[in-house]
Amino acid sequence: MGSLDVIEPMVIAVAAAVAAGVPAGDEGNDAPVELGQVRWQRDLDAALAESGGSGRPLFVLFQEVPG
Amino acid sequence: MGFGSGPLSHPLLVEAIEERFIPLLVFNNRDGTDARLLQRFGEPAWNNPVVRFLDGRGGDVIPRRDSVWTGDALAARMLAALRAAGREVPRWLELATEELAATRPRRAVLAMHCFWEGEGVLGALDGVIATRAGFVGAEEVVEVVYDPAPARYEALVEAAQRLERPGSVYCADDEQLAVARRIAGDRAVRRDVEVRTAPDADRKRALRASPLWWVPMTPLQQSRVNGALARGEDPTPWLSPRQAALGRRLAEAAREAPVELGRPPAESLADLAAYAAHVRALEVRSAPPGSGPRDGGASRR
Repeated sequence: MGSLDVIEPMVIAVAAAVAAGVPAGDEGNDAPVELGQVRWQRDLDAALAESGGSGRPLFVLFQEVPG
Repeated sequence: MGFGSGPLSHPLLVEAIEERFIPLLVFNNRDGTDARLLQRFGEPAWNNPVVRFLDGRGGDVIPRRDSVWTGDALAARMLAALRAAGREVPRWLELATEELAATRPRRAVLAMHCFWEGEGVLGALDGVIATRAGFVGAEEVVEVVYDPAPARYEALVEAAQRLERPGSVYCADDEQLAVARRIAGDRAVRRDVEVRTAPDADRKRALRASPLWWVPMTPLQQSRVNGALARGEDPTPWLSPRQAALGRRLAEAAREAPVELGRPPAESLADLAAYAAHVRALEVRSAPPGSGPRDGGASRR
């Protein structure tokens, strides 16, 4: 990037986390790092039913922990 | 940076995943329900992370793809899934995708009579990732970081030449010079200049005068919001709903009394924990009496 004050994406992420009300970094999220900051659901049938009602697609993460 | 600490922790992507999708986690290295779901969807165990987008019947909204581990690639898939599902694609998510995809941006330095106007106009152009008001010698300039898609430098120079009393176009190489000469004539000079940053009060002038200044944003969001405010347009399409909600709360608080949160977020990224504490304290102080503790760190004058 040019000579602008370049801000690393992770720092940007932490910055926006303040606005988003999402736990940033070590501010209280005990989830494994592999799962990021997303609040995940674990029940497929409930998620499918919710999707059927709202029209929102499922975002399904298949992940190993520890990864 | 890993998938979890990178794309899955980018707040704008997190917000989109939580609000525009239904996030579901399936461990690919556990027995029981997880193992049964792996079998149902034909996913391998002990695999690298895979994201699939499903409809309410469990069918893929867009074709499954492996090895999507970067922020821009994931964000592009999210946009594609929303479109395929017939859902609204928010402008702020498109903007985040654009910013994440700009991995090899270039730099332009353009002089003008007034960098307040320059930052407002240039920061609103497609392909502009970030702007910085400053000086080259005594000239007011705007340094622009842009995604070098075809014709974007040309559009930048053209826009700068339409400003009141345009100044020099400082070209870092012969390629920029050839384009700039066609548009700006002798004002285009081949010189790789250092830009001296303008005083804080002169940077992102329109945004700085707004309560939105206190809302943490990415550099590209700042450029777009500053540009919208400079033109008297509604900036909220560039903000996520969570950012916009914070902006509304800050605006309400500012109507009661001037608000000083501490150092502005864009300038204090190394001290975000303190900034976040300021914001939370402001919210507590803005709440009705008796609705929460009043020992926050924000000061209101």
